[in-house]
Amino acid sequence: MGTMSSPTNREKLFSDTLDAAEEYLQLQHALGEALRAGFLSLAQARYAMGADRVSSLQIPSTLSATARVTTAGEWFALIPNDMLPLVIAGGNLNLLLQEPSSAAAPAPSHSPPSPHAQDVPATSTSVPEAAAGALQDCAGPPAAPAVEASGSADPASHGLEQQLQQLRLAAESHHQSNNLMEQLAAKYCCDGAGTLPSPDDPLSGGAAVDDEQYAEVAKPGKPLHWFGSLVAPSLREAEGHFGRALAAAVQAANAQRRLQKGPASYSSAC
Amino acid sequence: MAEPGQGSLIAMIVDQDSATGLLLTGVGHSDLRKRTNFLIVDDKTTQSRIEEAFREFTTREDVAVLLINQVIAATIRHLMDAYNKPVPAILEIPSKDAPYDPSQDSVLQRVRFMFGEA
Repeated sequence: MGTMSSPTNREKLFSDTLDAAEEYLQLQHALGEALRAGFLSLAQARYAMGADRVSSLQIPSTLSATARVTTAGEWFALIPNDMLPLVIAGGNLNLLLQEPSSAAAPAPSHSPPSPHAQDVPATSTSVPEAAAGALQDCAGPPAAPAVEASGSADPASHGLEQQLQQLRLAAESHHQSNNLMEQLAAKYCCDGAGTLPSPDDPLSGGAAVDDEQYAEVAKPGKPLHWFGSLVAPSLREAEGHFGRALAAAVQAANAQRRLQKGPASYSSAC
Repeated sequence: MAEPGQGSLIAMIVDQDSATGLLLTGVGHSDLRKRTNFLIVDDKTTQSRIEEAFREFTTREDVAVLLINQVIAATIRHLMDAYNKPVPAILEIPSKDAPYDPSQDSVLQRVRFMFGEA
């Protein structure tokens, strides 16, 4: 029985390896297509904005990665961030983001820093850290503690609601304060923790500092902002294309793993 | 290994255009010692620098995937062929000037060689 099943087993391993090789080549092709589209959009952005404005010269010295992979289990999986939903919506790849069990655990509490700062810290202890992190890393994405404390499991909708609440609070606080000096102090002065509001944060003010629940959020550090506050639409398209390329690259890495296992298993079965 | 739950980094040894585009997705990272997870290769980058970056990224515990342009990988093919660890995974990607060539991919070459032996 063992000797009769061994050729069958070897054939199965061989066909599995060929399938993995085919999948790997398909993903490489998809990766190449996404990269090609990204390079074209990048060239269009350089034409529109100027070659010096879209180059590695704009890369800040301090960076914090918002796109990471998990090695939960056996395979790689991209940790979702604000850019990856664009990939899911616009791309035609069959994204294998994460296994449901591994996706639920790390994403809510330890997701990478949100470029849109949608994950507003729910506790006051994280606010000074977030603001301090924003000061230290003024060119890059916000510091990790700001996101770790948020615990947002659905950043897209939950973050939007919090932003709306912050806007309402800020509007109310500005209307209620009649004293000009108090308004200026609330807007520009430090809070009790000794942190300064971020200049780019539209909610910097008394409401953001006084109300601990809706306190200062970390400065959003979306990489797109390295190239200016107003970027060409083609640069945003390039961001989407390269995001798809990154997702394809992670999938290709998984296919590569399966492909590397095949010959070893086949050799051991011989 | 990276802090549990925080995720591992994606390192890159790529040309300027690939780096600019991929950094837009947020893969760039620099730690407290100003160590970055990417190397931008241009005409002035020496092979020894590329080899040094390859060794560094393949020995870092916080790197899970290493992206490298296939053209650049060809210059350090001896290191690519000698590499056999599962993590970080090394993925050869096309560049703006050179498309992906399956015949140059170290992984596919290894699979072809092993099945050829069997």
